Amino acid sequence: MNEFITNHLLSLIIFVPLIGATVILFIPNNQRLLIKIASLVSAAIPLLLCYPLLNEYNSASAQFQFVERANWIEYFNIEYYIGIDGLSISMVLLTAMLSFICIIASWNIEHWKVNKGIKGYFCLFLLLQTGMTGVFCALDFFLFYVFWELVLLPMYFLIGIWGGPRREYAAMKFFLYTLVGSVLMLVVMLALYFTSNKDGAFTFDLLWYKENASKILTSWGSKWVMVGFVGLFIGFAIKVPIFPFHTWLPDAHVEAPTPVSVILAGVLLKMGVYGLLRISYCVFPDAAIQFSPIMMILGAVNIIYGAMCSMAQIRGVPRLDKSTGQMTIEQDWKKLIAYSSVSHMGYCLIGMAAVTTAGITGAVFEMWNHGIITGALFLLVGVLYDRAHHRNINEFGGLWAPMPYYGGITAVMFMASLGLPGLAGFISEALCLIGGFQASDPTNYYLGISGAYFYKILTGICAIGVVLGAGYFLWSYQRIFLGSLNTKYAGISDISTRELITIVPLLIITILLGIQPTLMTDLFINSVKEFVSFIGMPWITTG
Amino acid sequence: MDYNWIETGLQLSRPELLIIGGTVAVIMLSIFKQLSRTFLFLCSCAILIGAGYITLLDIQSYTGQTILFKGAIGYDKFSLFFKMLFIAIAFITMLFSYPVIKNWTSGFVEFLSLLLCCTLGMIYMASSRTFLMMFLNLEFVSITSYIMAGLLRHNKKSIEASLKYIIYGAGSSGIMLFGMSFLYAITGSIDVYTVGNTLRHLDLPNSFYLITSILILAGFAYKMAIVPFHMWCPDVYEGAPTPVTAFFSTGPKIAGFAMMIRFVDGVFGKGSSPFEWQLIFIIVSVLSMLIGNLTALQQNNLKRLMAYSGIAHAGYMALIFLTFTQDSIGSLLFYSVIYSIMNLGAFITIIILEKYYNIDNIQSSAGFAYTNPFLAICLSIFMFSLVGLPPFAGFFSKLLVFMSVIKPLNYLTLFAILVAVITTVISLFYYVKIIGAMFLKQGGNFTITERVSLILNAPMAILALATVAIFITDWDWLFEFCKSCSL
Repeated sequence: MNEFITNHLLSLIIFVPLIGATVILFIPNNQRLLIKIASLVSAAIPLLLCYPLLNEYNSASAQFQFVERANWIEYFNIEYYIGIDGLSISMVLLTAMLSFICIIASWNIEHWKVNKGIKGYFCLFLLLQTGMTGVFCALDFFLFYVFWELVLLPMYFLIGIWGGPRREYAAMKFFLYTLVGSVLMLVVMLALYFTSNKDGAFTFDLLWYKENASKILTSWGSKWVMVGFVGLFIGFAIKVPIFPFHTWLPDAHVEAPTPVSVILAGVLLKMGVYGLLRISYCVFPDAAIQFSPIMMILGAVNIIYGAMCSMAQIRGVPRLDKSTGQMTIEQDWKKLIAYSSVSHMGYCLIGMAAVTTAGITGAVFEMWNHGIITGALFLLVGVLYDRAHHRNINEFGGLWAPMPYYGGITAVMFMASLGLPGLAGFISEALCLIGGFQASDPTNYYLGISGAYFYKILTGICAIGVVLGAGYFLWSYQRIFLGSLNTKYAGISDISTRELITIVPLLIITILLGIQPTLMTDLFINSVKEFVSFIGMPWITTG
Repeated sequence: MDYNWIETGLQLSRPELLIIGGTVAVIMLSIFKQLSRTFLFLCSCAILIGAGYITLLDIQSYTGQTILFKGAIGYDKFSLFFKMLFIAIAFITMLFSYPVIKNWTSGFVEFLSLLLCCTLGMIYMASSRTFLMMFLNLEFVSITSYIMAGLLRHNKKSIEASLKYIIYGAGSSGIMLFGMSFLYAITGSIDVYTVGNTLRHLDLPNSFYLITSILILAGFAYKMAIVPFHMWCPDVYEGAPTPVTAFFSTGPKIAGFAMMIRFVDGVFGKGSSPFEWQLIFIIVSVLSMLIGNLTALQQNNLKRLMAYSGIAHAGYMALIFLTFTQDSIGSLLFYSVIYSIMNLGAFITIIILEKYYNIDNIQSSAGFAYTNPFLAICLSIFMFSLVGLPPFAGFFSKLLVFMSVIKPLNYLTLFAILVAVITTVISLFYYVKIIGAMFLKQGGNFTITERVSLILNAPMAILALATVAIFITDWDWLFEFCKSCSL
């Protein structure tokens, strides 16, 4: 039994939630507590299994570990092939942790505005967890694609059924956007499959693609390699989301219920970044080098544009309600945080454009930190929303007085998100910016600027994003927590124990990693070094 | 005179003989008023099970190619495969139509016997080797279909469906016959393979091929419901009794494909041919995908929506003619199996909605999922599978067709694949519209007069389960079997 667990650790982490979901299907509808406990257990087991995973994980090696390999569809050489390295282990941990926390955050589901049966909700949630973990573990492109699509279906229902007033629109938009991306991915995947030749047979093996990237380059030609890269890039960029493919994100985030927003921001966005790192970059390293300046520009646009959109929520955005024909001023706290996600993902892009050790470490670390911090922020928004039933920034004020604990925790998480030194967010953002600054390619000119200065100038522009971030976070904090108390909310209750259980672990991690970031970075530093030397940007000196 | 060929021919067509005998027996037995409807229904089921069993035995042992009845009928794994598939489709259709037809005042026995007749016609469509047999069997299937579409004699829509079907059918099969007469006049033969061999030695102008191909395609495309011969489809689907629609959307459509494959294989052959007939198929399949999917977007009636979805799926299936290799024919056979499973399943849900809840369009199904979650979940599975999303079997059937087409990568195939991929995304919109209405919208109360019959629920659950199970298990045996059955 013990041996079975150690040999199939990853499979268990992936599929235990699915088994749990199947079990829940057979629990009668009125056994509400039993359903909740069953789903809590099914989410807790993967989290507990992460302990032996971390224990046995050898961080000194850049190789794939916990590899499991079996034939799935022999005729097409499709394999069940999973394993993790430094790039994915943090994501597996993050998924297990956030899913567990979100199950606890869903505990008060009966009191939500939309109360449509809890069995379906928890089943879909656990199915979602299986899909997400699978994406981060799959080493077979086909398997990756299947898990990628598997995430879509439960997400559509979770947003569409349990979401806010515009849930149908948001769910459909999310579904269509992502499907467009995955279909592009499918075409590139098939093209790769039919040009592969592993021992005389076609293959979907991602590691084979990586090892034979130069062969793919010669057989495709640099023009088609770029086409393939862009195809994959759009597919992943929709998920990240990268400007201009980001418009599904504010809708989906705002309409989704709190735990689903946490998963959306915490894990789903990371699937895009992870896909870029694991597939686009590793299969088409040559195109990635060519694409680097564009990635840099997109990163800068993401940071500044996302921050500006967040800022706009402070001032208020006039919006026409199509059904009533009324103009409303939208000042949505949740939308502010949703746009701040767009901004934060920009830092990942800068790090990835540079592909230096600092840059990629920063990008991978930012993926983790953003998951923790923004996840916590969405939970915090949910806490207030559950009490006040709206999220309008301007209608609060002086909440610190009735909710001191809540105000304190929010302050720390805001500081972490805006990049205050001493908290986790600062380290990763700084690393990304350092990475961007290191990049210089004096032989080329981009937009009329020498490559020696191009990256530095853009990094400088990106640094403005940090200031903007401070702006919107501090302003929104001021509006909600400081000033005179809105008498309507004089009797509002402070954060409850259950809510504390969901947020405090994230708070502790944020502070701990801010002080001692090597706890996390040591896990993936060797994989990152291997990745950087594999891509081999012109400014990377070998040796 | 040597009459051996009659004996061999009859020996190898036992399932067909069983169906013929059984049909006659069912009609005869219906004269006796004492016999209950259930008995007649069970008899018809038994006939199909028997025929299916014999075919199953044949298909396991048989390899090779026999030509029966002096070249009229081809007896090979290809025809055996379709024989099996059509019997299965007819059996499932018969099962789930029982709760609907048992209350009809008239037309009960007609339905059973016509379904059996139509199955026979479809089987012969898939095994015809001569123009004469092709035309006769196409007409056989069509005429039985006309009557089946009009079985609800007092329903104006049903009569309209029947009449529209007849007019379109008569027109297009006439055109097809005209095209075939061209080929006969040039080659002096009605056997498709002889015609093909003779044509290869003649140096004919391209315009000749173009005109004959288009003329003949009219007849086939009408059965397959491919643009531009699809106009009858939505009206007939809407007007015909729903079990009949379910049958039309799978059986005769697939039979059209089977016959088309045999025809193309015989006349043009695999590999190079004197005429680039693939171009015609690119046009019709791209048009089908576009028109089918785009028009479906605006549909509200469930049966009309399924009609356009069927047109779109015919477009995806017709993609295989671009390459027309053993692989791509195999993937079409695989597609037709999966498509039958999904489509029959989807129609069972529509029958339940119509019969028990009086819902026939998307709007009125709003919020239905909270009345009967089991049905809504099954419907979602079929719909997602029809889109071609993993983890459902529809993903693989679509993928295999794409994979078999993309292999000789050139601009034409790339164009066709891109259209297919884009229309797949478009199709998501209307399939999910149904799911969205059921799960996401608030809706009224749905009262139910009686419990949903097990005979409807069980096949629905089994088909839904199959849709998921085929994805998860290693289904390569099914594909390899399909490939071994391809021409």
